[in-house]
Amino acid sequence: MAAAAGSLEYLPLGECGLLMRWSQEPAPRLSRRIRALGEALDRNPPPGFVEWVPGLRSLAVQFDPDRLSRAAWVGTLASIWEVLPENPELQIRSFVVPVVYGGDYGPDLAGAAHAARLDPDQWIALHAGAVYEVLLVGFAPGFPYLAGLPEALAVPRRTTPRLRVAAGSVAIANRLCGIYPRESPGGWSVIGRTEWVCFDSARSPPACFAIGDQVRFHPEPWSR
Amino acid sequence: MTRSGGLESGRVFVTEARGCVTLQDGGRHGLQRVGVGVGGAMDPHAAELANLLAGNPGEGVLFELDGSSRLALRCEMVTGLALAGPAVPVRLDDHPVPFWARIETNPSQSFTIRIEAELETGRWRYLALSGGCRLTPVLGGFGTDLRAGWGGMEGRVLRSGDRMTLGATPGRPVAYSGRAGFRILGQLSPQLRAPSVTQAPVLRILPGSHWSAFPPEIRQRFLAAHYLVTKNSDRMGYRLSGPPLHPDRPLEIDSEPVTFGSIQIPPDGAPIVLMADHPTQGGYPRLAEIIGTDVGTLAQCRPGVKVEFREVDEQTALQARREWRRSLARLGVGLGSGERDSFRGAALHA
Repeated sequence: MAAAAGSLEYLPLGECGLLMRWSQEPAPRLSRRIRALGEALDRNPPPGFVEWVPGLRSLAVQFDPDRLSRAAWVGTLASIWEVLPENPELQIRSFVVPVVYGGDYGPDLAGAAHAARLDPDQWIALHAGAVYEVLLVGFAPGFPYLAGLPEALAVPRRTTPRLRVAAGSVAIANRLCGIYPRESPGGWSVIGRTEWVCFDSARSPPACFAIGDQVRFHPEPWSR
Repeated sequence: MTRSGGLESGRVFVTEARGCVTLQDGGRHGLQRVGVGVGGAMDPHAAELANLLAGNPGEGVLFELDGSSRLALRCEMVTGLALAGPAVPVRLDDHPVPFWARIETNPSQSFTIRIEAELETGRWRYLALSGGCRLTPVLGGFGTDLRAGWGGMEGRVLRSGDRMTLGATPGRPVAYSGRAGFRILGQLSPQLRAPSVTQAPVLRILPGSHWSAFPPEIRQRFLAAHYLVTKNSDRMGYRLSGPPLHPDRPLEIDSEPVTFGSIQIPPDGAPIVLMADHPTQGGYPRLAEIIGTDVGTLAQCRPGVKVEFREVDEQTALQARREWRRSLARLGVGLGSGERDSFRGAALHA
């Protein structure tokens, strides 16, 4: 196994599931390998396989334990993981997402800029100048967890989550950036808004983003 | 579309729906990887039994009523139904009909079924109509996801004026055609009913993926104390109150997959049990997982009900699951055979 992958635990997730958890920090390379592991299961589903669900540095598998026992699942997953290449071949796409920064659409931009000792325009230039990579899609349908936020822009999660974060909100927390696909409660700092459709149940596939996809943000003027 | 027996498909008109009445099924699988929740019935066992009694596949589409919700349906060309969950008086036209029974109805006579009594204990009730409700699948499932706004009837609770068509019921015995509007074929024996409503249930748990991050005295406290189901309990999660449970030191959790029955401990130490409509990712440490056969038991606990937890090993959880599957298989064989005696002998008592 590659040294970079760190240690790996197999943990219980009820009697019909297990969780693989890696010790290393969430990172694009780990996420891509997790996706590759999931896709290997899709291509060659072991008996009783129900579904795989990625986490930021974890992967859950749901299964029928009467078809294949937990011990057998651990063996199967370990053997797939061990032979996965360090840089697995994945279908990676690139997107440019237009964002209107600040104002009512980004109520936390001023605070985030202040915390970073930048003026808002400098903050926006740094945020829009970075290239992001999807680490995970989840929590809500289509919500992308994006790595690549410049370190200078990182802010902690809000101590009091908002009860309502508008659909399309672009938000940050720690070193991650995300897009709220629908209105929901949320604890991330909202810095702008987009009309980008992250999820459409009538589309196939329904989620716009997949792990490994590259994302840039393009500032849109308020006057549009 | 017509049934194999040449009958027209059943038609149903909602004449009254108040409170949280939704259409549910066995859940959506395969899209948690992009954040789509599994959903499905809150008491999966009660729902499965209602479906099997009505002659449907166990994961068929059926009506779920929360708490004191009310529902009245005008039914045409309907061949049967079943009710499951905490029982209240239900009337088919002017006649009482029991829970946990297979009720055959005469498709040539339309009727109204009405559930409007207040629940005194328990929470989730199920009504399955033979043939299930015919719906367009959304993301591979039929159940209502109220937060996402899809599935079931336009992604919302049912309201009066809604109408739906029932599906066919392949392999089902010929519908009852007696002169009376319906007959009660038999009632499920109590030991074969879903665990459903019990006072102060003991819920069996397996250690969760952060179990060892909690100090031993906290784990012992969790297993020794009573917890109360609070008012902040819905299809997404049940919040419990009781002795607080804190990990050794604050844990920074990177978003991680969770499941129906995961017990999360947020910073205030009050456990939250994730239920059918839980988000696909969790950010709090997970102390334990309620075993699959017991999640419906918790679902049926209304605010104020006391629950306890007991640790079991994986073999016990698997054994409970197998026993449950076996009893359903026996019921299914009995129902599918069309031989009334064996059906009754296997699973029902009149």
